[in-house]
Amino acid sequence: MLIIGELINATRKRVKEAILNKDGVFLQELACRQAEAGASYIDVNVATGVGRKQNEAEDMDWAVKQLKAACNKPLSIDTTNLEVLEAGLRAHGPGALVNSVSAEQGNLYPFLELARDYKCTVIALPIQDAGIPRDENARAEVAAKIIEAAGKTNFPVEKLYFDPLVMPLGVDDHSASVTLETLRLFKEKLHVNTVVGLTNISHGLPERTLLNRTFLTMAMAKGLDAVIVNPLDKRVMSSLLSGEALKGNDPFCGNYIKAFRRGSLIP
Amino acid sequence: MSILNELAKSIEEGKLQEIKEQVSHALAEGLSAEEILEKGLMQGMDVVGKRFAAEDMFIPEVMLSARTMHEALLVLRPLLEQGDQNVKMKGKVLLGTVEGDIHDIGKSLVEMMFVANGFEVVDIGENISPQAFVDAIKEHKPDVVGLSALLTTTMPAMARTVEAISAAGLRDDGRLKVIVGGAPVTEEFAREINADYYGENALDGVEVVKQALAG
Repeated sequence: MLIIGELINATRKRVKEAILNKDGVFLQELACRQAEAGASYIDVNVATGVGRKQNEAEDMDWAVKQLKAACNKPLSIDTTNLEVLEAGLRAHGPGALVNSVSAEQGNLYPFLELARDYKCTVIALPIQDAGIPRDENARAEVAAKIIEAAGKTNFPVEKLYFDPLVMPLGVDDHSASVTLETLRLFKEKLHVNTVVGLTNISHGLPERTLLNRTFLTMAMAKGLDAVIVNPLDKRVMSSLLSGEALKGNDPFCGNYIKAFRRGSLIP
Repeated sequence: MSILNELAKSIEEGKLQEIKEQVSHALAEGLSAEEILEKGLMQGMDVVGKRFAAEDMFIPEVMLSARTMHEALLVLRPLLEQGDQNVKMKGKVLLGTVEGDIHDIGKSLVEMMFVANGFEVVDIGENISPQAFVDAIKEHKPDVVGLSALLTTTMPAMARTVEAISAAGLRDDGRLKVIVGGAPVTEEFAREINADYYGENALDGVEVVKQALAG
């Protein structure tokens, strides 16, 4: 399972302050702690909501330069803005993750072209201008459009990770089941890699970690390939490790047992 | 327990199946539609708001309470609109998600809470340009306009929308109130872009608007 560490995000108060005060050390430490906890990519979102777009591109350039050499992990450039993405990729060099491309006009082709030029892996959201498709079939249709666009731009489809979209369970009883069905369609019909951002599922509900980790194992059973998560959350990471072992992805239960010895397995 | 207390309790507990019958029963007992709404059902919604703010109730429960309120209003509204009881809606709220942002979940929750609290709501949808907001305000003449954004990247569109509403002279007489909300939006940001109010969540938004229109 590919783990994308989500903690460097400007919607979190301490991170926002670090970006505004140019506190590179704080960000570097946060990146390294996530890497040590198992993150393969470190997500970087610098949208503080303060100032204009220009600042966001500058902030991205600064943050990527602070982080790229910090702990030897590639970064995930988290933005919906092309200039910000370009600033991040230019500072990073090849091999970053693009979080994310959608099928919206003006987003799809320019993002894929940049990602191709910088040899990136890409998270793809089946969203179009009309909004978020309600059901699994509509989401698969939009995903197919993104695959078609990847073909036209010579972007390798195996480097696309499709997000089935996670909506809060609290506002719709069927949110999770639609996500899981979409995931199944993506795997069975489109044969693509998949990724979810976990925490949205539990918005507005008590004991969020319990829902997050249960949902994670349900998604893993449907063939989930990657997850955007807080790798410092030991309970979620324990579920992930046990899920990998149960799926047969952990030879001789090595990682599971190692984690137990380290004392980081939490039931 | 009095009939009015029972009605309040049913809203709080989201007794979706029973509420219509309870309201009909209250009417048969001689209570007026206005009393039932103001002293019964709305009291229940008030408790819901307070418990939600205290994190003692959660979003699905609040939604169930709001649905239950809708059911009750199906029985009451025809009576309230007959005129002789002279009950007015609390106010008219126009809602939309700003340009570049297609998210509707937060806005739908806000709409549900306004309706459940006795407001008339016009939802003009998502990805709404500043000019489209201005046109809709001219057409519907709301007391309050609520702007929603989920993305940090669409917050500038929120600022442009507030500017456009001001530039069109729609705030000149001070009657129209502008409230903003959505996950990345803060009170500080609301002040910065010259909005009148900020709603931290759907129920807080309703509370703020209630106080604003009362004062």
